[in-house]
Amino acid sequence: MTSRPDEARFRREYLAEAEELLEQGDELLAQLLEEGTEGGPATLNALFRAVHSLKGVAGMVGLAGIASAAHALESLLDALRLGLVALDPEVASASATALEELRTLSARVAGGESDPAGSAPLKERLLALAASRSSAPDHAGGSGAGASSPPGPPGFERAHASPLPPDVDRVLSDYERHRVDESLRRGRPLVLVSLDFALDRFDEALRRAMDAASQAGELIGTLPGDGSSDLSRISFRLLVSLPPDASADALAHACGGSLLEAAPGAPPGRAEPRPAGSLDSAPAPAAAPAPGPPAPEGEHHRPGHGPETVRVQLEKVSALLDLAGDLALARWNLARPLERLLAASTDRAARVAAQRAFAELDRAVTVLGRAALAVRLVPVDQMSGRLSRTVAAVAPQLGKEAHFELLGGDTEIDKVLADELTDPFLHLVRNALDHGIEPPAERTAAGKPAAGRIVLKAETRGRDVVFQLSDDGGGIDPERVVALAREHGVLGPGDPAPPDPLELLFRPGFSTARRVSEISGRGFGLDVVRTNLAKLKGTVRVTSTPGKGTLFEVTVPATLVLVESLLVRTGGLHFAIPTSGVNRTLLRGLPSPGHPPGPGESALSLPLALDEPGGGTPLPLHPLAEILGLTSDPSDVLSGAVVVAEAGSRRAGIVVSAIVGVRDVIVRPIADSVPRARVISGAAELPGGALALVLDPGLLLDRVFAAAPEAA
Amino acid sequence: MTGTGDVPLYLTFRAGGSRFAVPLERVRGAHRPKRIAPLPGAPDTYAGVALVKGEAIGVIDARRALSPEGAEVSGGETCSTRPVLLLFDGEARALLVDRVDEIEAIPEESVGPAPPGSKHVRGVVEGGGRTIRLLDVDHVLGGGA
Repeated sequence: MTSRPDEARFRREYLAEAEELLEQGDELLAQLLEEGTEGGPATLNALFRAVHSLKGVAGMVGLAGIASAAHALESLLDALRLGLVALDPEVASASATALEELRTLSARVAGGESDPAGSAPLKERLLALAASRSSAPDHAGGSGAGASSPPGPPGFERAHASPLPPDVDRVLSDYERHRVDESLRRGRPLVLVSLDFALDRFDEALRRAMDAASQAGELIGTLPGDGSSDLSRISFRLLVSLPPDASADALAHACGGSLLEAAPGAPPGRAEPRPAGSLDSAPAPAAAPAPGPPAPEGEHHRPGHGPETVRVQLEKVSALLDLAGDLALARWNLARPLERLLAASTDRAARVAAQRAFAELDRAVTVLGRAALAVRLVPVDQMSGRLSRTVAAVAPQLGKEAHFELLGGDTEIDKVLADELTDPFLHLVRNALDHGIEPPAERTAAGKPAAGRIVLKAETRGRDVVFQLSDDGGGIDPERVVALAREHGVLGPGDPAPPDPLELLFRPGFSTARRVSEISGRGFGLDVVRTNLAKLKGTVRVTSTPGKGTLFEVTVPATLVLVESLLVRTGGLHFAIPTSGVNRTLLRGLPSPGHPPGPGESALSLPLALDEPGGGTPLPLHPLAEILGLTSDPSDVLSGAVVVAEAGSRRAGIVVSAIVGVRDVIVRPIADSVPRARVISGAAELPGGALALVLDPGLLLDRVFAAAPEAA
Repeated sequence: MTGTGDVPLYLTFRAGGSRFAVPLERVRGAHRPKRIAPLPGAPDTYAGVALVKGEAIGVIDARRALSPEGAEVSGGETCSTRPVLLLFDGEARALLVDRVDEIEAIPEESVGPAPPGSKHVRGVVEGGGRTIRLLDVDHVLGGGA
């Protein structure tokens, strides 16, 4: 089925993987035989996965014999996992023999055999053991997805009445059911943790909750929620078996939530399950509102949850900005015709008066635009609510103590910018808690107060606002950073370390390497922070003194870098063209074409042209709808407005349905991976909330001249 | 991220009346987009572009993209009035789905082969009267060659 070279390559890939898996398998089996199955399912599960993976890899490269041998061992391990058979000497010896055989078979593949088969008697022995149900099964049912297998087919009695609510009991898989029974048998309390997260970033919140649950006890399963949460949230339940001495409260604390209410009492059962606790867990600040003070005035991150007044105010501000934009457009459209009129005028006094008046108007419009923007300035105070709540919620989870402080809270910053900055700062604050602030005992030993301090200081420097986020934690060791960078390939073996080794923290490798648990456990993600700040024309740098603490300095312009753009409409869509690429606009009154587009004749090829003032070469005209491949309305071509796009010495008339006005917008680039018409470079939110697609004037001209080379 | 006993976790969702699942570890988050602007020149499967936390995201309509896998382009259950945008790690392309269902642990051994003719589905899980199609995320986002 494959050509020889492919086959050789597949074999090599198999051997590379098999070696690792078999090594793991040996270790895990030894560990399993030593600790037995009482210690929890982790080792057995890992062994099962290793053998399962080996089967998969073998099957994929056409090694049917090995796949079949692995399958037999997998079946036995699955039965063991589900409690259908006991780990007796017979099972142990068969498993060890099977692993040994898999190793021999792999060696034969390495030696050039194309599909070595395992011993048939061994395979039969494994399958027979798997089917033996030797050890008085404590539940019934085969393996499988078992999303909703019934509590047990007739003929088998479950060892324990289920203490779980029926809707939970129903959805347990065979494996989960077995672990529940096992937990009951050993008198370990079962706790059902109900979690409810905002859809926004629930993954991180869930990860934290699951880590916490695994640390507190055995996480048996992740089950669907009761479906009561609304559509903007997602709920699910964690089924956890706790050690006898642990409590549901401890688990609640570990999950970062608080005990809201006691769940309905467990139905009478022979074991003594702890009544399930329903916990409202809010480990990540991006998820559910953390317990704490109500959101301070000015917060509106969760749509529909913030105070409405802010939104209303913003809308008023937007109306003002729109008006300022309209005025700017009117001035802009007035400037050139006025110039020509004045040049042609012989009335000197009137000319001077008009010039003076226009200069006045020009100045007033500019000032108005700036003033309207200034209305959006807000004090940075409004960021502190989320940051301090994050510190309060996250520090205890990490077994640390810390306080958050904001200095210079009255420093003013653009409202939109303040919103955008909150996430990067949340990230930095979490990093400081995770990696900076030491545990209380360590701090006391180092002569520091037990509680760490995280301080955010804001101040205006010229047109910039500078934020300094400092912690008084353990600092970052530059040599360790360099060592880790080399270890994880961020820095090649021959590459010299940069003059400032801490700069390496901002390289992508540091964040994608989630496994870099030596520093972070979850990776720094500082490259993302830097990228996000760069979008706001901001910079970030870090300095650190080992033993004393770390300082992140973020500099951003106080007002957003807005791009003045001409807003146009075509085909029912809004487009923004940066005015730097617009020579002028014509609102109406296109020269009438020689003839309307005939059948089969694209409007693009119409001999439409616009006379240049001063008698230059007539400009070619191109409907935007055609450039974008939209269905164009021929009436657009005849009655629409024209934008004269300009890049370098090239010019072309772009025909649009209407010109809306001039607006300052924040351009968000669209990644190359998103397929689209090439002239679209980004998207921008308009003051009223609508989206405009941003057109790149240079690309627009490239497209126009490529499509009509004769016009070049 | 994996669930209990190293069983991989999936996020299940609905599109056009069918159930699908994507590996939870690939999911960056989910949002309700305020506005989606149509994107000229994009394939038919695109609903357009949306801004999510200041980032321009290409929005793939799951109903249209997954219609070869049984999603109905119109109809299905009730037409979702508030669809959810599923974001993926390191991806500027996202999936617009009717609703997010839940997180499920799906053992690899319970995954059956994809039906013949599938484009984006790498396996199917049947059980409890439901069919869940496991998606190859990169394939769906890439439009499937």
